[in-house]
Amino acid sequence: MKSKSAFTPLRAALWLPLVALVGLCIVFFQSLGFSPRNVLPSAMLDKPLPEFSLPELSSGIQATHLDMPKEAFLLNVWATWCFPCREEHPVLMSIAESGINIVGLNYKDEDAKAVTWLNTIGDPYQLNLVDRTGDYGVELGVYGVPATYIVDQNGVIRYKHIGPITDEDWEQKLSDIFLSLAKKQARA
Amino acid sequence: MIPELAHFLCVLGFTCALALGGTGFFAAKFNQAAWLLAARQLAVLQFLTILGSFVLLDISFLRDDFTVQYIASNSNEALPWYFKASAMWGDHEGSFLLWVLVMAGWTGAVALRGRSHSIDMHGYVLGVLGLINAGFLLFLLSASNPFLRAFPLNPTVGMDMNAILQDYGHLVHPPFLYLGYVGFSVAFAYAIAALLTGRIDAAWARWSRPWTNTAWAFLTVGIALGSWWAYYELGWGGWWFWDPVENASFMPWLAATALIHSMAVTEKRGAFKSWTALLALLTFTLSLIGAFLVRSGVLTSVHAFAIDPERGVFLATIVAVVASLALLLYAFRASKLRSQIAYRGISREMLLLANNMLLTLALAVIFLYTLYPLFYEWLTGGERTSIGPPYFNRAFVPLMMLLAACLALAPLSRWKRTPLALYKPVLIMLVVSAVLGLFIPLVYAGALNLGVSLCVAIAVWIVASHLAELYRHRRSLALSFVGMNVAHLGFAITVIGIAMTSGFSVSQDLRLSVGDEVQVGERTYLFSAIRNVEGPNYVANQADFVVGDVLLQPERRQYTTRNTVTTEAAIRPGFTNDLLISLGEPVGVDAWAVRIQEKPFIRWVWLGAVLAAIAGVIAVCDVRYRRLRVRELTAAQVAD
Repeated sequence: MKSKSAFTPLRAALWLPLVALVGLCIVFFQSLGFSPRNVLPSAMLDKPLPEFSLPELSSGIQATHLDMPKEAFLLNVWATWCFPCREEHPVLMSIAESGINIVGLNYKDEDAKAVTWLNTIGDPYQLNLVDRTGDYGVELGVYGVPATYIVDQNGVIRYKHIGPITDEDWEQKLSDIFLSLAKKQARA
Repeated sequence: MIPELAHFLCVLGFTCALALGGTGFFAAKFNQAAWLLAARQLAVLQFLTILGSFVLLDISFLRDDFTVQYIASNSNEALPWYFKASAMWGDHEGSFLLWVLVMAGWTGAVALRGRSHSIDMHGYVLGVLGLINAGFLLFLLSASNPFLRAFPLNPTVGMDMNAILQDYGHLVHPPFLYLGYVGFSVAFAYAIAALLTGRIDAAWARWSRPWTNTAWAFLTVGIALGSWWAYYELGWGGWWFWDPVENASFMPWLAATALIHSMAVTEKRGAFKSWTALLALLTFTLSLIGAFLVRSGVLTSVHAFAIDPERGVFLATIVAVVASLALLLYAFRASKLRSQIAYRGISREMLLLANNMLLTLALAVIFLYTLYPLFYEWLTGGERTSIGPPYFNRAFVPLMMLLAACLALAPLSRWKRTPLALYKPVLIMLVVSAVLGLFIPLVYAGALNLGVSLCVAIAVWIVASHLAELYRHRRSLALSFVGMNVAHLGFAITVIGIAMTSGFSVSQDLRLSVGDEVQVGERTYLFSAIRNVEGPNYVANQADFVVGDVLLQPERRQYTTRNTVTTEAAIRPGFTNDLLISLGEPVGVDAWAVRIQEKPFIRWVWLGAVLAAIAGVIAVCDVRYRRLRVRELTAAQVAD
């Protein structure tokens, strides 16, 4: 005797796909209303960097916010697996040459590869934090690499740039934001 | 004049699509043969008008008509002619015109092939396809119009094509991908027709299976082409990134793979009926969701098209309307589709059920991970996060290994019940494969890597059990049986490729000056020269590397109009090992950043996929699909 199929689902279950789809469409429509993708989510803007204790790349010593530069700096999120980071690298080198502090956040990468990268094509970073798991990146709101944050002398995030910084980005926009922060600091 | 004519033909195509929707449904509802004939002619007319529109716009590309806004932003007079032609689908508007052309092509093919169908089935299928394409065309004409002139008229030399797209890969990758994606609309339409008529039987499965197989084969090739293109054009040796856009094409592929297997049960055993219908609906819904994710910009990706919120709203509406109507119909009607099936011991049904569960689970994981940033943003009111490739691999790889293990038992399993004695040779093969799996990687790389060994062992096991079964049936081989076996062999080859290349790739970042000689892996590389070369629309640094008696010339190109840089890796392809050199930026006075890689067995990843796609086509050629037509045709003639 054939047993009755267990594969004919209950009638109520037949509505589940529709319910799931409706839920999904609500998320789709609402997410279209969010701000354009290259703007920092308002939740992070003008807030201090989230607390951290991360190893430094070359020394392996744990670093915290106390080890950050005492003046405004760029926090650059990068990785050796990130193709645009390679294009951004020379721009960072020239920014670093002009005397601006850049802190690196080496994101979901391998230490050995990161060290080789810096030794081969040059190291623009004053120090490099290692975020092996990407947990700190989540706290920072990193959703694409590279990303660069402008952080002021008090450790407060003032701006976020998504994607590689080009020469034009720096000259036309970011350097102005950065310089205005530096001026404020000088006045204070 | 030409762009206006193209625009006009496209509008005409839109009216054809609308009329097709109406006549198709009318013919089906009232069983009108004359109306069905009209619907079939409209389907062909729709294809011809949109083809005309497509060709005329492409002619405008070839003629450098930069008064058209879309051409001015995406082409350049210095481009070679074949890139001008493919620049057409280099951005959102033109690629969507390709999308509707492919949709009209499938519709036309269904209209021409479905002679054996009953009037209601054929009418509903054509009607659904017509209405869906009407929705797409409305979107194209209102929110993504590629035919518009730039006013005031100021002809320029053109903004140029995205540099990464100036490659042969772009000529073929999107067309294949769309043929796959959009082709699932046919299975979708058949499922709707089945729900409307209440009939899912062996005949239904035989009508819809060849379309599903064909679309699946196209998508398989499309994804493989995309992976291969990323490998050599993005320049850094990666071949799969779990990027949202890759996932958008991979999710329908997983669903369709499950669908192909579920359809087999529906055809042969009359079971899994409502599940098959649901999978058919979901596969095309996933294609639509993919189009939404890629073209609306809600997820960050390397493939992002120009972002416009209006488009996102329109595409989300298409997803919502098409899929919710379909699933509403499913909720009301699916309970009418009764299946009767019993499971005893290990049977083919059981294995196919396991296949469907594993594939669906893998699909669910990838779906949740891909959309996780979106859900997160929604729940937190705008905060963002990301999920990296390790998450995907951790969940996906074990599921696929389980699937592969089931696969080894597939060829000799029987419907209803497999006598256990049949499995004896497979268990012996398992032991032999385990030994081979351990030794092949060990001999190849001289190092033990248990993960790789496990994958290779299972893959060898699959190959052995399938070859044995092919040999046993050598005197009476049905094409569908050959197709199944070849597809599974392709899967095994891809598994070997992925395992070996993931386990034994060598990669080194170096800083080299002309004259330097380095050792990477077992080979010595001599950086012998560097020079400037000039292409039609770029300038480049080209390096000479000598490896043994091979000369490799990686380039770093600077495209002049958009001022973008691309890395053209130099690759020495090999059946079991690729050598790959990428030239980075200059470092210091006369040194260059260089990445040298060895990619063992990387070709096998794509070879397996191509084999599987060919297998899909072989299965479609099976005599029973043709016999069905002949039989139904004679029946129809008798009726006349």
